[in-house]
Amino acid sequence: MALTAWVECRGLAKALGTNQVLRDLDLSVEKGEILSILGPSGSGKTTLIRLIAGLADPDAGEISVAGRLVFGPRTNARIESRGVGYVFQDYAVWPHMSVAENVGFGLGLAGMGRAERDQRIREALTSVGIAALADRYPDQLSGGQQQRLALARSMAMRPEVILLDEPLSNVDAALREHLRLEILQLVRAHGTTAIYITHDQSEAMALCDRLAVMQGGRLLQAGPPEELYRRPNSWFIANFLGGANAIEGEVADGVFTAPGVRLHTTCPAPASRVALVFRPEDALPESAQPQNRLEGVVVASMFIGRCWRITLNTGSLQFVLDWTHRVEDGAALAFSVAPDRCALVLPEKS
Amino acid sequence: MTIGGAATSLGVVSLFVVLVFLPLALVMGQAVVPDLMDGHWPHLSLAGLEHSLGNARSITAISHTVVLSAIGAVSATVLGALYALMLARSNVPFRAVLRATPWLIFLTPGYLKALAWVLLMSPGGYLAQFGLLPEGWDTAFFSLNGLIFVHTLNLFPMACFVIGAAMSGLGSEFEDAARTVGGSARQAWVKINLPLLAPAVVLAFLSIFAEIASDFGLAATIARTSNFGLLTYSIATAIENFPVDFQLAGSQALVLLAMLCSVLLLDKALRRQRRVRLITGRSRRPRIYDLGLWRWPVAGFGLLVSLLSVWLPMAAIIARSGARTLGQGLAASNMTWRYLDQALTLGQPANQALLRSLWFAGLTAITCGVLALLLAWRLDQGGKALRQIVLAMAVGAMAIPGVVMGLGYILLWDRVPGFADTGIYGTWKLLVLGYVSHGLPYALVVVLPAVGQISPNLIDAARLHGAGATTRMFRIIVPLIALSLVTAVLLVFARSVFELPISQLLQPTAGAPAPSVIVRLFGNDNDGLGSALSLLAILATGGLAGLLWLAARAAGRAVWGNGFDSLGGMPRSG
Ligand SMILES: Nc1ncnc2c1ncn2[C@@H]1O[C@H](COP(=O)(O)OP(=O)(O)OP(=O)(O)O)[C@@H](O)[C@H]1O
Ligand SMILES: [Mg+2]
Repeated sequence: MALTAWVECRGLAKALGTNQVLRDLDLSVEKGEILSILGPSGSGKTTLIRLIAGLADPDAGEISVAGRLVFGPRTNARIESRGVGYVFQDYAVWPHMSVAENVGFGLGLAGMGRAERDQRIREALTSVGIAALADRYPDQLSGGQQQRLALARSMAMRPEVILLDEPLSNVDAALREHLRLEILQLVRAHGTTAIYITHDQSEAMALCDRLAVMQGGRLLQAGPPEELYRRPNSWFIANFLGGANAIEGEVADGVFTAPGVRLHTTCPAPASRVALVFRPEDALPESAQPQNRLEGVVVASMFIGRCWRITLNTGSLQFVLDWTHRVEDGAALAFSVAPDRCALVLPEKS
Repeated sequence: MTIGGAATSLGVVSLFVVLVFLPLALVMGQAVVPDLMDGHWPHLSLAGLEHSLGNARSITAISHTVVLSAIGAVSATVLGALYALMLARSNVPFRAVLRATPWLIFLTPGYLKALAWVLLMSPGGYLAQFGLLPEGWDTAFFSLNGLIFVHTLNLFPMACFVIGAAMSGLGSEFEDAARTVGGSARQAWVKINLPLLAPAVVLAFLSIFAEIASDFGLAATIARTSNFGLLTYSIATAIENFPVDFQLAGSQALVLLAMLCSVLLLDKALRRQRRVRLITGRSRRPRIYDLGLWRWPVAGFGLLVSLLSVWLPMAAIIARSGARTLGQGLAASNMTWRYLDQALTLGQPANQALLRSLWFAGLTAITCGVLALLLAWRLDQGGKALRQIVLAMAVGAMAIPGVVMGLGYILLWDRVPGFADTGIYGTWKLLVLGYVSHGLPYALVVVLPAVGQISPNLIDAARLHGAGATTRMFRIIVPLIALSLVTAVLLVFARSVFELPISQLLQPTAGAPAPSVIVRLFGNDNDGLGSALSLLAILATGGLAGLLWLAARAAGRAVWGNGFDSLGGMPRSG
């Protein structure tokens, strides 16, 4: 089968020790696209991009980068020939080299002449805003500056794809948002294809063209972030991306039923035995969708800034709702959910 | 595993086999298979073992060794614990001197301190001349007492390091918690801190026990003078005296090794039992007790320890090297340059021995440095498991007493066909090989963890930027571990200059190295020249080490720029 996307992985599998870290994983990224990979700790995100970079070899599968097969049954391209940039979580800038030397190291090894190299170094450092620090050593830089250096070091090599492994998790919160935008702009400005790993879901959604969610070494779903958010294909994703309320029951002809619950839905059903999920912010006043009404007793209200988060007990079920005003504990409350917000996924245990 | 990886493992294993395993196996084989070397069909026999160990001398040596090691370990551990407590938890003054003392002791060989104390304590020695030696103390010193005394001063730093590290890991939170629920300070220590520190105390005790049991320096000096037979010295005499009795040496070595093994096993068993994992990597700053006026007597105690273990012995050696005779003391009429002059004049035997030792030690240090680097390089590709194995083998090899190693080397290189045919027995080459096997573990113990501390991402980043194995080695790894590497080379150098048992057993026929000459000079009542030679060896080693350090730093700066300084001792992870 022809490999068409800019970065394409097919049937990747990898075991580390006795641990099957990746299983039959397919992934594709288009040219110039930014793909975020989101997944809980240990889901194999780092392992996946290490395979793409060539830092480790898959047990099975194929990888192509920029339309060229770099790993396959009879192929294993050398790391430096793959055109892959990599930004590490712990920066991994070489402490014994100055900022400029860090950037120039790979260029020199690639045989680039002095003048051109200096030019490239200056460009790269300027693009991340640390040109003035060229002669400093990494221990004279802040964490944010070190990560900028790491980014410049990779971008200076003009990679076909840049892999970023949780680049902001060691940067303090105040700087993170700012740096995230900078990275995004820089990568976009160069039209570089990027795979961005994170386990911060708001970061993942904010940053990318497409989002992929991994769990247990598998890719569960990939697509535009709002699609994953609105139409999760599993209970795991629904819950992982922002949290959701879930009810297990049956669905037939667009009507979902569970003990004491009857809701209309326009979302596609993966099976007849399903879980219906809706987000706290999808709760509407009962008059908005009278045919999709639920009610219960308030057990807690919590002010969370833009709204009140209310916990509602219906007897057998508990829901979390975002509400415009506070409701006294013990008071009865009814609400409704629009049919197009009632997503259906396979029940958790199947 | 790749082909390169397999070759590396093979190389490492064969290096270990030749340097450590074969010699050790021969020593043990010698004890239970008496005809092993005689060309007869070898047969297992415990009769020889029984015979060798059953005689009165062996029994005395064994019991002396056990008694000395046990008492010495107790007193050194107690002193070390008090010293560590003083440094870690009190506001004692003169901290710089007090802190430096354990390191100075650690870096100077025990037998020099022992010889210095012989000068101080002998009848008519320096202390007696100053009227500082109470009646009868001189005879009391040349016995178990003197050995315990010098061992304690020489080895308490080990306890101080181990227990001090545990104390700073412990902090004072547990103790403070005990105080808040109404415990007194004394109860907090007895009920909380002591039990928590117990593993470190036990570890210190066992290490010092092993150290004393395998010590040769004091056994060949004070113990010999006092006629206090010890295993290590007895092994050496069995080989050196005519008729050579390898069977006896092998049997006694076996007992010694068995003793060390049981210490090791005991330590393991105890550790498995108490698995309190409270000492985290996080270093807490413990509360410092304000001693008030008591800090002066406490400082006095610390300074006294420093005086007795470093300064007084040093002064004795300096004084003796410039004095015609010991008995006439510090009088001006007794001063002479003769000994220093002899030791400094090219062509004089003492000077030859000194130069020989410096040269051998230099060669050893460089060999060990290169080997450690090569291993580090190959292990970079071999992964973590191999590094752990090599490190474990190195630590194991460190526990083998020099006397046993020397015996093994004699057996292997003088008597085993193939090895004996190389003709290196009796030459400087075998001596240097012995030094290397003794020094390499220390080099590895310093260098490998430094390599292990380099974040793998730093290496991977270099691979991603197109650096091959050699480039990675010389442009990433070596600069990052440069300081550890220099430290390792200097450590091996200093240890080899003063290495006594191997020097004595593997003495080249062409001429002995300084350590055995020093001990022999003292033994022949030529302690003036012995002191002069010791003094020059210390100065030369210190001076050379300092020069090498400065040169390495300058070279590091020239090659790697200022980034070399920014590494500041320990490689960073990135
Ligand atoms: N060298 C190794 N040997 C054995 N197992 C390993 C090794 N390295 C990683 N693993 C395991 O592989 C799994 C996936 O690891 P990976 O680092 O790819 O996860 P991750 O998704 O990047 O997690 P995180 O978000 O914590 O970085 C984990 O369960 C980890 O324990
Ligand atoms: Mg990871």
